[in-house]
Parts: sequence; C-alpha cells; structure tokens
Amino acid sequence: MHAYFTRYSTTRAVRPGLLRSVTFLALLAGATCYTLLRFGADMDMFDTAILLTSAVGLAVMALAWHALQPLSLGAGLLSLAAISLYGKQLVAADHNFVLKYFLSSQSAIMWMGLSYWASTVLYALGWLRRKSGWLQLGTRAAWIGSLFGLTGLLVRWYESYLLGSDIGHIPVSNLYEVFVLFSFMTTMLYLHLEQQFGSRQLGLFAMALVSAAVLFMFRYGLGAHEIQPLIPALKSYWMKVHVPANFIGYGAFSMAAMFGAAWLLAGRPFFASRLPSRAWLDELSYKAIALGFVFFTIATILGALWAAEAWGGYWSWDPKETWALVVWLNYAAWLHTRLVKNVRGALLAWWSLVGFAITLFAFLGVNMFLSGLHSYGSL
Amino acid sequence: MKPFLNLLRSMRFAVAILCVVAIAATTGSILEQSQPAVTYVSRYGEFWAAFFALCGLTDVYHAWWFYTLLGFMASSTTLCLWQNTPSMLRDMRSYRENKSIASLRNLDFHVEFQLPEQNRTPAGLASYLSAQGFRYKHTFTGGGSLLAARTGSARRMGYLLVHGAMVLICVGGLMDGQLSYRASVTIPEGATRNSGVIQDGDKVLQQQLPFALRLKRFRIEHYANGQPKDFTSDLEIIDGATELPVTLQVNHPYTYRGVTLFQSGFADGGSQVVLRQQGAQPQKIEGSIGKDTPLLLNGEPATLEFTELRAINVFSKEVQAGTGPAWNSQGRPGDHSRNVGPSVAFHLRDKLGQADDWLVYQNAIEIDGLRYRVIGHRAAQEREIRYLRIPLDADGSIAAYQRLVAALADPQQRASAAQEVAAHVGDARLAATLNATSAALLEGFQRQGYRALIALSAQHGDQAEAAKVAQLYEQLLERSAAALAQDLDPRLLHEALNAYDDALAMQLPALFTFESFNQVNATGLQATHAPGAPLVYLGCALLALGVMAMYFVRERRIWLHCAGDTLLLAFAANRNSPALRAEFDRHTDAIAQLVCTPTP
Repeated sequence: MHAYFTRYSTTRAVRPGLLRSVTFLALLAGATCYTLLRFGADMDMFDTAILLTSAVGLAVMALAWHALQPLSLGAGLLSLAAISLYGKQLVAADHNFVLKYFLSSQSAIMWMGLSYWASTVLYALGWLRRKSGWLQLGTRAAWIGSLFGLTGLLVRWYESYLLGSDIGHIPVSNLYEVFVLFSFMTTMLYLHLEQQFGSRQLGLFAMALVSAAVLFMFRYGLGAHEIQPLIPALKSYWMKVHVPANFIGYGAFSMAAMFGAAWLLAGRPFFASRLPSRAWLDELSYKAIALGFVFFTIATILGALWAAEAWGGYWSWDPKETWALVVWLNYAAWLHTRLVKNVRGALLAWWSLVGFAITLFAFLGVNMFLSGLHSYGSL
Repeated sequence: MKPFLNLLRSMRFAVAILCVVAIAATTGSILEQSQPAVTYVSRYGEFWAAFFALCGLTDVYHAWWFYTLLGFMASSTTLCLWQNTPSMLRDMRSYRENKSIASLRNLDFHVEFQLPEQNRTPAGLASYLSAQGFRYKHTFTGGGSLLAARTGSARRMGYLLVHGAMVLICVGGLMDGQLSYRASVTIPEGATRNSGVIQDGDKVLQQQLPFALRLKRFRIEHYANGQPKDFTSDLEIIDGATELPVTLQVNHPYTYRGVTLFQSGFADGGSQVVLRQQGAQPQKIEGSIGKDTPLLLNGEPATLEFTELRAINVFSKEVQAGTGPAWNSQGRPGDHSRNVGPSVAFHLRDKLGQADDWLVYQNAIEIDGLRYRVIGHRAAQEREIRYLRIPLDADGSIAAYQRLVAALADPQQRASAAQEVAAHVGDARLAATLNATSAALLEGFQRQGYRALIALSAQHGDQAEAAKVAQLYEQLLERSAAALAQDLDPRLLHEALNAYDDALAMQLPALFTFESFNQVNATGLQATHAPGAPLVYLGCALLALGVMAMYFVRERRIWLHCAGDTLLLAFAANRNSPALRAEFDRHTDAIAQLVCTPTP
C-alpha cells in the first residue's frame, strides 16, 4: 500500500524559461530563414530538407531540454566569430591569436578533449568524496567541452569549404572526425540523462569512457586531422543523416555498458554508497539501450538506402554491414531477454558489457582488422 | 507439432535465434568470402579448405543453413505476431473497465482518497484525464462510477509494426538471396554491351541484361589534388526500337525494366599509346593498354605489355620520404602540389619470360628549376620502383644527355677530353698525371659510374684521405666531362652525370620515352536486379516507425473509481520502472487538489 503524504503544491508562476525559449526559437527561425534566403540558390532539395528538419529537430529538442539553447547559441556564435576571423583565408589560423589557440577546429577540439578530461577528474573527486560541489563542476566542464566540441565540428565544416568549394563536406568522414562526434554525442546523452535523472553519481562512469575516446583520438586519430576530399561514393546527402544517427547509437550503447558495469559494482558497499540503486541502474541501462537501438536501427536503414544508391545493393554483406547487423541482433536479443521471466539483472549487466565489446568492434575493429567498402575510416 | 510450435514462438527461442544468426553472420566477415578455391587451400591447407567448402563457409550468406536460420527467425517472428496480434489489437481499443475493484487495489500504484461531504461526485476528473492526454470511458461498476482511461496505445502498434517489418525484410531478403543478381558491366567509349559478368569464386558467370547499353562518353572529374571527384557516364539504353539517353553518376543510379544501373568505377577501354625507344636508331613503338606489342631489344625478341595510362598525375608537397614516389636516388619531387602530366605503365618481358615494370612520364617535369624527363623502373627482383631523371636542354629534348653518353662511350673523345683538361697546366709532369687520371676517371665512370671514383680514391690511404681524394676526383671528372660535352652548362652537366650514374645502377636495358596517346575510357557499371527490394524498403519504413513508436510512446492506464465517500486511484504502465513512482505521485497530487483531502 502506498502511503500518501500531503504535499503543498506550489502555485504555478509564469515560467522564467518561457521568454528565453521564445527568444531562442525566434533566433533559430531567423537564422534558418537567413540561410535559406542567402544560400538557397546553392542548396538542392535535399540540403533544404535537411536544413529544415534539423532546425525543427533542434527546436523540439531545445524546448524539451532547455540547456541545449545556450549550447547551440554559444556554438553558433563562436562559429560565426571563427568564420569572420578566417576572412575566407585558411592561413589566418596560423597568425590570428584567437583562431590559432581557441577557435580553429584543431584547437577547439583540443579544448574539448581537455575539458572532458577535466570533467572526468572533477567527477571522480566528487564521486570519491561524495561532494556535490565537485560533481557540479564536473558537469560544468562537460558542458564547456561540448561547447568546444560542437564549435570545433562546425568550424571544421567551414574550413573544409575554405580548402575548395568542391572539397567541403560535413566533418564525419574520417576516424578523427567521428571520434569527435562520438565524444560529443556520448557526453550529450549523458548530460541529458543526468538532468532527467537528477543525480551526478554516474558522471565518472560516462566521462571516463569519453576520456578514453578522447585519448584514443589524440593518440591515433591526429594523423587523420587533415581534411581530405571525399571519394565519389561518399559524396551524398545520406552521409549527413547516416553517420550522426549511427553515433547516437554507438554513444548510447557505450553508456549502457558503463551503467552495466556500475550495476555490477553496486554489489560492493564502497560502490553501493556512491551509486544509485540497482533498480535505477538497471532502468538507465535499459533506457540507454532502447534509445541506442532506435537510432541504430534508423542509421542502419539509412545506410542500406545509401548503399542501394551508391554501391548498387541495399545489403552487400560488407564487414561493416555485417557487424552492424550483429550489433543490432545482439541488442535485439538483449531487449527480448528482459521480457523473459527469471532473468536476473547480473546477466543483463554483463551482456551490456559484451554488447559494448561488439559495438566497439563494429565501430573500430572492422576498420582495423577487416577490409571492405567502409575502408576510408582506416587507422 | 504443438510442442515444436510452442518452442518456436517462445521468447527464449527468439533470443536464441537472434544470437545464433548474429554469430553465423560474424563467420562470414572473419573468413574471406567467395574467393577462388585455391586461395583457401593455400591459406588454410587442403583439409580446412574442403571443410569450409562442405559447410558453405566460403559463401556463408548464400549457404542453405544460413537461409534456414533466417527462415527460423522469420517464422518465429510470424508466429509471435500471429499469436499476439488479436489480443494486442483488442487491448489497444480496450479501456479495461471490467477490472474488478479488488484487482485495482492489488496494483502497485493505487491510493484512496476520502471524499469530503460536499464533493461526493467530483467533477473535474474526466477533464483532468483528457488534459493529460488520456482517453477514457465512463461506466458504473462495483457500486460506484468508474473512469477507465488509457494513453499511448500507439506503443502496441509499434510492436506490431516492428515485428511485421522484420517478417517483410526477411522475406524480401530471402527472395533476393535467390533471385537477385549484381553484374559488372565494363563498356569502352563507343561500344555496346548487353550482358555483364558475375564473379563468384572461381566461376565467372555471364548475366544477360534485358536491354543493351551503349557508352557515348565517360568523364572523370578531379579534385585539385588529383583525387577523382566524380565519374559520369553518358549512356544510351537500347531496348528494341527505343533508344533512351541516360546519364549515370556515382550516387545517382537509374532503374529501367527492373534493372538498376550504377556508376561504380572506370577502366581503360584500350587507349593507344606511342613510345620511342631511344638509342642509336630511335624506334617508334605503338601499342594499346591491355595489349602486347612485340619488339626487338638489343637484337633479342621481347614484349611490351601496356598496363595503365594515367592522364594526370598530381603529387602533393607533403610526400614523405619513402611513402611517395622518390624521383631519384637523391632528391624528392618538387615543392608544390601539381599535375606532372600523363604517364604510361608497362611491363617489358624478355624472351625468358622475366618482366620488369616501367612507368614513363610524358611531359618534362620541373624539379628545383631544371626540367627533366622522368622514367620509373623496377627490375623483376627488386621491390621498389626507382626513378631516373634525365635533364633536358633548352629545347626540351634529351639530346644533350645522349650526346654526353655517346661521348663517354667513345675512347677517342675521352682521350681528347683528358688532354684538354691537362692542356692548361704548365708543368709537364703534372700535366701527364692529370691527363692519365682524367682518362682513368672518364673510363671508370663510363663503366661503373661514381662507384669507380670511390674505388679509385680508396687506393689513397685512410678513410679521411680517401674522402678528400674522392672529392677532388669528382671535381676533375666534372671538368673532364665538361671538356667532353662543351655545350652543356655546369648544372645540366652535373645532373646529366647523376642521371648516367643512376641509369647504370638501375641497369636499364633500354630507354623509352612516352610520345603521345589517345585515351579511350571505359565505364565500370553495376547492373542489379533485386525483386525483393520493394518489400525490404517497405519493411524498413515500418521498422523505423515501429521502433520510434515503441521508444517514444509510453503506455499508461488510470482508473478512478468513486463509491460512496472514497475515490480509488489506480495507475499502471506497460513496463515497471522506478520513474513510474514520480509520475504516479504527480497524478496523485493533481487529483488530490481536485477532490481535497485524501485519507491519511
């Protein structure tokens, strides 16, 4: 029987966020209209569709999650600043102080990595000492990292066009770029979860993973930091939707694995006192996998449609495709297992870790060890 | 049969089949697929090669057992759908207003309110439910009035869509596994083809197309760095009397009569090239890519096999030593990224069947202010290609170099050059020594290149001494060579000597220059026919809709039962989650506001 305690409900005042949201929407609409009017002539039907969909998508997301408003606004302003500092000359990055040390994509991405590392350290301190002040700083650092990461990606997009109008493309085409995307996406997913769940106890787990990705990026990905023209098969609007959707999936699956690890650790008193209850960890893990599954499914479908257009068949059993299917089947099995009676949380937690290994192989291992049509992302 | 069906539709079987298909799929990515049988034998030995072939592991995705697994997956899904669809549809429409009050009290989330005297039939409940997005039904049951409400029925629709979609995709995929084909069609410019080839392990099958294709023109666009940007084929589809012009590009396929045509690559369609064999009697050699041209090499029969013509060659300035083409034993390509013009690659096969590789550039290439003709050569037993760069004189020919080589080979000219070097020296003994040394150097260099200088200088004392002498010898050699070929300026002469030395080191059997070419492109197309594709695409659309519905739509039910002075609020969701408590509390708060005090 649920005991009911009388609560004093608060009277609803006009939400202070309302004005801000309206301003944000107005800015977003304005920016979209300006883009359409100014550059509409250079955009084809798909570009326009993608622009409008992204604008609407951002609006919806930013209304549901207000913290996205300052982030996207900040990244937009920083990118515009970078664009004006560049003055259409790529060499400006060599002698302009702000560009050289902060806003050129290379520097911004460096700052992203450093902020994510700082965030991990802060989360770790707060987590060990159980001090919410440190944890709060950890969240701040993660936001700053995301701001730099998003700016870095946007500026890189612009830089690619400075190399030549036919070379320009969305920065999701090589290992370095997708690692930035992965770090950014995973952090954003975590921050959203943190805000929804209202606890920062898992920050260390999520950001440790992101830090590892950043380390890998700095260690192995820097060789690919130079912007290269796309091979003909990649020159497609599909890339703009296929790759980001995939990385939401990868990010969510990785986070689910971290929560699975937390679930397993929560059996020890030291960890139990610093972690949410197992019921919550189980729930968060499920949420992450379900979200990842949705986006991974969509990304795989988009990939199949693209393959049909570029390679002549929606499915060629290319190693990347095969492993995408393996990842998909694995999480489909995971989701079904939750419905089987008598399956304990430990199995699912271990399984989410195994799933992470499979995801990692699909993401990196395929490019490292197997050959195939996706070989452009090779190390 | 019944137990079998029960197994097939059980959740455990679903989990198992998903895992098994996943594992089966990985085998195909680990073991290379559809290779010729010899590849497996050489890599894994005969036993394993036979084993792989027996188990269909060399072509997993078309093996009978893989189809069987997919069939099981599809039928398990179908059975689940068959079993669950009616109840799901019923459930979607039902408000579950027939639930007994006792069972409502058994739910995890329920609470009872004490209704105040003046408000025994609270009015705002129904509108609250509507405002929260619930749809409701009002009935009288259990001695009171019941509001049974639900929201998020679309979730169940999501379930049906996802599983239905999987069946569609499996069926479409299985159909394509049997009926589809993907053939490569290579068409040279101006030619017509009505069939393609399918490479399948050892076998090459011919696939007839339901129409013919004629290539009018093929274009390659390049980025500034020489990387290909786009391939475009201007084709004509010839189907009986109709001739349909079609332009294909990468990522822009075209479908005609169930066959989809894709631009996938390009090939050489038999470009014609003209080489010149340099020497005492220059000889013109004509050939075409992909064909052999016989020739006489130093009196012996040999064959030129032309392999590749490149119309442009762009090198970037960031060529690392060792990774890019090192143009010469000393030196790197120029500083700027630029197009150095066309090149032709060929094998030169002697009568013993040994072949060396050649790569000859057509245009003069400027390196550090001088212009060169560049010839790459790799002898049969060598691993890396080496480049010979011959300096050009003002009119862009290698005549000056050839004159130097001829003069070096002539003992009389060598002798007179040595005399000329010594002529300016007053001291007769010194002049004689100089004359002899100069003659020896020229003669040695002619035979062995710089190695001769090193050998000669090594006779003079220790290492430091020898190095000094070698330097002197080099200067003397250049002076002697200048006397040999008096029209060459010193820098050109220096480079010419280097080139001669390189040519000796590379042991070139002949010298070829690339005169002209006439490029004939061939487009590389893929023609595919996949009758199951519409089913698969439909399935994909439903799948995407379904997973989104299942994730984003939450199913909730609320029952409000008013009987006498109590109001029972019960709440349920499709899935238990810790977050439900907060949601229930929110509803409880709101309804408490509506009906005032709850029971303590």
